[in-house]
Amino acid sequence: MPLLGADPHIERIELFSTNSVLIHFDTEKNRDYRLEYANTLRCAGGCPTNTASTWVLLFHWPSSPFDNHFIVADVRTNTQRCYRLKVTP
Amino acid sequence: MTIRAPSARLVRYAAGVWAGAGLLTILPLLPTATACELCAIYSADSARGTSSAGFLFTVSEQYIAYRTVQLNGDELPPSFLDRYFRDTSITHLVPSYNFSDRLALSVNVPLVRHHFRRLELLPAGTAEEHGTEFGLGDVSVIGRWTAFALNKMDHSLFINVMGGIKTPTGDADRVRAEVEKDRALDAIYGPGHNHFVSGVHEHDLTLGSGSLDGIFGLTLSSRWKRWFLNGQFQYYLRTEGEAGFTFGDEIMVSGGPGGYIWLGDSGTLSLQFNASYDSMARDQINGDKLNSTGWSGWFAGPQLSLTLGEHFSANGGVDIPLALTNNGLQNVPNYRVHAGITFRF
Repeated sequence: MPLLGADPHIERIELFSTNSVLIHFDTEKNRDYRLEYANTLRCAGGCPTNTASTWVLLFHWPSSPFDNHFIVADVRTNTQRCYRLKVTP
Repeated sequence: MTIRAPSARLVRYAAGVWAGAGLLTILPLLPTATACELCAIYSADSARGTSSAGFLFTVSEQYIAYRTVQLNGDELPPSFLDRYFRDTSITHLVPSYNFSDRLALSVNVPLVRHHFRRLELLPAGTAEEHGTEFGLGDVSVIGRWTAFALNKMDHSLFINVMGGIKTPTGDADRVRAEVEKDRALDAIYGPGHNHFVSGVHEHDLTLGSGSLDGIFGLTLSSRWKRWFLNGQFQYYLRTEGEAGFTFGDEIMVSGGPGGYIWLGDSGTLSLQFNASYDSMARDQINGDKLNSTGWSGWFAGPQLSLTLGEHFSANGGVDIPLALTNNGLQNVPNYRVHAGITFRF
């Protein structure tokens, strides 16, 4: 069983309904989570960390006193979309 | 109580006073009761409208601040969830008619106001909402029958049985909205997942339940000279309401000792210590129990009651929570304030 939050990651992305995708991830207490997307990935030397892509906030879960699990639905408007989960601290 | 889903409360008949811990230390300092003081006590029953036929009109107010965030009975440490709250005010307009000293009928017309800030989970993320809900709540019709009455100059005992119905007159759109969102989230998360991400839920903001509910009550009030002891039991039997949503049944037990701290020719003033226990079962949607609903709590606090002449009475009090348990994530009461005035025609 994975340790919640120690290695924050998107658990899986799946197709949902006719025009949506579902993004699954766990959240650990006392950590701030931001799920972001970019329609294109552009590298500015040293991908994937130094991307010049425009990331847009899709979902924000502030630091809370308990663990949780979220499934966020996103509408499929593009042929491709990249997601990332930013966690602090 | 919650009056959490704003529900009509039984009118507190029969020397409806709560009590205060300070009472026992205050009363010994007061002058000893005389025969005339007992007359004042005797007429106070008349001012409350419990002892004779005729019309009465009561206006009462209950204010509850739901600002403590609890998860499964434990208060959570400070977090962003503290910015979400619900302050509920219910004003009850209660015309009553005493057919005799033993039989009465009341109509309870509640005006409900919720001021709130909440966070909710939606399929595409979360959304914050801040605002006020105000309007007519669920109107109740309640009958009272005095099963036992003994009223002497220096002692009295009353036992009242009450029963009634709560009608679905209040707007229940908030309940319908929660059911619809719950179904959409169930399609994503699967049934049984807890969809609440703050302690203020949409069904908490409803003005009415959409259901026809039963109300049952029993009150006991007793007095010996200037001391009294009152107790009340109330049970709310909920049925399925708006969009298959059923609020949990609710039990309220309250009571305590008190005494008259002022007895004059023109009126009386009494102080009572009141302890109460409230318990609400989990809500259901189409028979499935909802997470983050249902709670129980112990409260205690003082209540002052004033009578002037034989036609006017007033009371006011505070309930401080002593222990609160709850299921899931909920905002629970910080305190409750209640007050009321009654005029007997």
